[in-house]
Amino acid sequence: MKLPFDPYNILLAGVGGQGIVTVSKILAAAAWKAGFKTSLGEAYGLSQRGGSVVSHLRISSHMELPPLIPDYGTHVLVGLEPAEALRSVESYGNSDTVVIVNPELVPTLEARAGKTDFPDAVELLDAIRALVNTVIEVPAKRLSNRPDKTVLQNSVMLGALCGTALFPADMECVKKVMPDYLSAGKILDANLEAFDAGYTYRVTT
Amino acid sequence: MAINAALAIHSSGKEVFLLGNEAIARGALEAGIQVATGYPGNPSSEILGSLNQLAPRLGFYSEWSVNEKVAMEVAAAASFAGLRSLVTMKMNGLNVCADFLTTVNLTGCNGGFVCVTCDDPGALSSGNEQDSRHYARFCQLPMLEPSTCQEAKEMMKYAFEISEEFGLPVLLRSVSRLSHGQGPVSLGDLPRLERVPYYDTSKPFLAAPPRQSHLHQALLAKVVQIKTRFDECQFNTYTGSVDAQSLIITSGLGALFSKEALHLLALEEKVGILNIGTPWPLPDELIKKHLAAKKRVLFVENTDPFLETEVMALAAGLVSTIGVGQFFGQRDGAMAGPFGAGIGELGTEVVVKALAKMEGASAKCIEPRFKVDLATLTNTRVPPRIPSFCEGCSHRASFWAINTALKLSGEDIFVSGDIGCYGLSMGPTGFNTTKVLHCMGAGFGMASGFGALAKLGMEQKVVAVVGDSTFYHAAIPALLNARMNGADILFIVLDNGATSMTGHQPNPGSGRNSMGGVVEPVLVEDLCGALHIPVSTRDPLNVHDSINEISTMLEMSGPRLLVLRSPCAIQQAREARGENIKQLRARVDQGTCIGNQCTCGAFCTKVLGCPGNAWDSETGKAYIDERFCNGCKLCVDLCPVQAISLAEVSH
Repeated sequence: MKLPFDPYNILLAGVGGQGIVTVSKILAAAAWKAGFKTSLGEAYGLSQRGGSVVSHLRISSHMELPPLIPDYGTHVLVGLEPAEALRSVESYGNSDTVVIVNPELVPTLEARAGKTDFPDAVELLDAIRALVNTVIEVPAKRLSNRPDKTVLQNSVMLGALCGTALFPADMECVKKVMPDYLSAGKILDANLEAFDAGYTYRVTT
Repeated sequence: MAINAALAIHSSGKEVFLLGNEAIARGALEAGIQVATGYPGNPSSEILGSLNQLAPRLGFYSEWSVNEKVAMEVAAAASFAGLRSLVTMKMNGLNVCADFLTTVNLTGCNGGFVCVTCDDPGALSSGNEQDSRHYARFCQLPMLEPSTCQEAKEMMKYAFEISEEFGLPVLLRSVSRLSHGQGPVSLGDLPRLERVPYYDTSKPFLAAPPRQSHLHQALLAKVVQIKTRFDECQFNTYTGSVDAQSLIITSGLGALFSKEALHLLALEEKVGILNIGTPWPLPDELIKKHLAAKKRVLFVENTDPFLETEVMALAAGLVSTIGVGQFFGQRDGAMAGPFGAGIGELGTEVVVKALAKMEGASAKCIEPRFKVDLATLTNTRVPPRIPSFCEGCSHRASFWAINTALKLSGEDIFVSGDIGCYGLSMGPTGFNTTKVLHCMGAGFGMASGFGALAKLGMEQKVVAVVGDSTFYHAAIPALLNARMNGADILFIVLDNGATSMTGHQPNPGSGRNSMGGVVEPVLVEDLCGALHIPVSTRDPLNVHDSINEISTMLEMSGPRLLVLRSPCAIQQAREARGENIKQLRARVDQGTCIGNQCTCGAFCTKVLGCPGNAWDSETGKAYIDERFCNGCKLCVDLCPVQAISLAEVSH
């Protein structure tokens, strides 16, 4: 597959504990297996305890790239959570960034405790739409069919990303890499199903 | 931690996608290390974490040591006995090792001995953002700094060769974005491990007077030889046109950020990049050659102006031969992030701005371009996510107990804390309890000091709180000090059975060792018994009992210690899932809950703040978010109207 831009910059944003690291590793491995020069930039640390998590995925056909996307240089932003998506758009996005976002809110602790306000999903998505031209909402919770297993929503988003044809490795390549990062058996199967649901949703909408 | 199977593959030439830390581990394996040590610390932990899992299979020895200094000494012993050895740490570990590092540089080493230090520019999870390169110059030890995962692996092998050839420990510096980044790596061979350790006492390593001047002289002579070697080193590379009038001098990730910046500004023909893979000793002749050929130089580095300072000193000595050049970097403010020069992580946009200044180019490519000006956006401010204790964390219970007991005492008492998960107690998740916090062991150390001030009229009292791993790492000397000098302090050790913040590595109290074996734990209370320090043990999740015990112990005098012991909730949950144990979850009875008539407007949500305690603004009542409940029972015990109870949930 040809890259729409070279370097091609994909940013993933979400909340610590959602599984961003795993999703990023899957995408990076797939891009690398598809023959691209790939860099993945992450930071493990305090984000684990419910903080903001951002992964930088950089792909090129010829250049070895540093692990961080330059300011405002993101081509595709995968938001596993709308508040984190907005936060990342403001630092790393531009008007042409395609934002693929799961509208399922993960409010801060203080907000869930009723201590502070938290913008609702509509407000957040509107703010993103005010900044960029293309926002694709993916109702991952409904598509995952397992509202209790929130981590499956990541695989829905993976599938949806592949369904937009914005990822330079094809969906078979991504699915082939998933077993290296997900436990075999029920867990892998559930994630592959969720992936298919996300993919089908994008391809048919 | 799942081990990347690629690390143990014997087949040479295969290309795999690895974490920077995994590449470093693989490099050590390909160099034939027989001993690996370290202390957990972000961003270094995965190096030894990987090696620990492979050690039994591949036949070498590996351990998480009690602290970085001991870790370095253990690795040095292996080197002195002729084996190749590795010690790993985050950059602060070098501070802990400094005493040994500044003597072993003089005595030298035998088998190759490499110390990997991982820096955290921007202090993403550290108390500071120190630059390890200073240690290389200070100790006059060779240092290598990779730019990519592949280079990290190759430099490890080269480091061992240099170390053995010159009989000197070698440092390798990584940064968080390299250690936790990923990239392709071509595997080499894994050698057979055949050396048998033997320390030749006829050639002893002795760092003691009156030999210092001779040892120092010998060290500097080695450095001169290594400098000449590094002038030809394959890791010091120039990329760019021979006609380029400008030069970037950089090391590590700076090389990649520079390359991308030049690409964005289309300046590849005008500016060359000299990537210094050996920041110490600097390859002077190589640098001089490039300085002579260029009019303008930009220094690109993470974090301090290390290369900038050294190269400008070199250039000052060359004024009469090559004239005066123009230098750009941190000194003139060209290289500056949002907080100023030398502060925060390096990024392509920082280099773009600096290049724009040096070359008179436009930096438009990194400016915001949204549909509307960011500043005109409506007030949709996204609140920050403040780090907090996990659901069910025993530290929440411990700090609730400590805070309550201190308030009940009616006295002016504050808490001296330390670093680890429990360090979050300086924030709202730990009820803002900790009032002074620095480095490993300072919790007990400073308390020992505050305790002594009573002799000079200080009326405030102090309670010291450290975690189990911190206790074994650094706090024991302070405890001994308190005992020896009769300080009047209540020491508290929060024992959750593992070094949790960094990934649940084992420590002397865990009852297991680094290679997975079961060992007898060293109990804090046994140590106190031996020191004749009164000691008590409680489960912090029996919170009322813990409050009482703290209150009682506050009334005592002299040094005394309370162990609050309960296993880490995350680790426990993992083990329970694995064994299919029936789990308990809390539930709020909606009839009994008094909503915002409750103390402080809703105790469980507004005060306790466990991720599981949620508020339903429609019903005006609290409820438990079952995704985040570990059944620890703390909110059950503390709810002022006993509206919360536990129920079994099977998996």
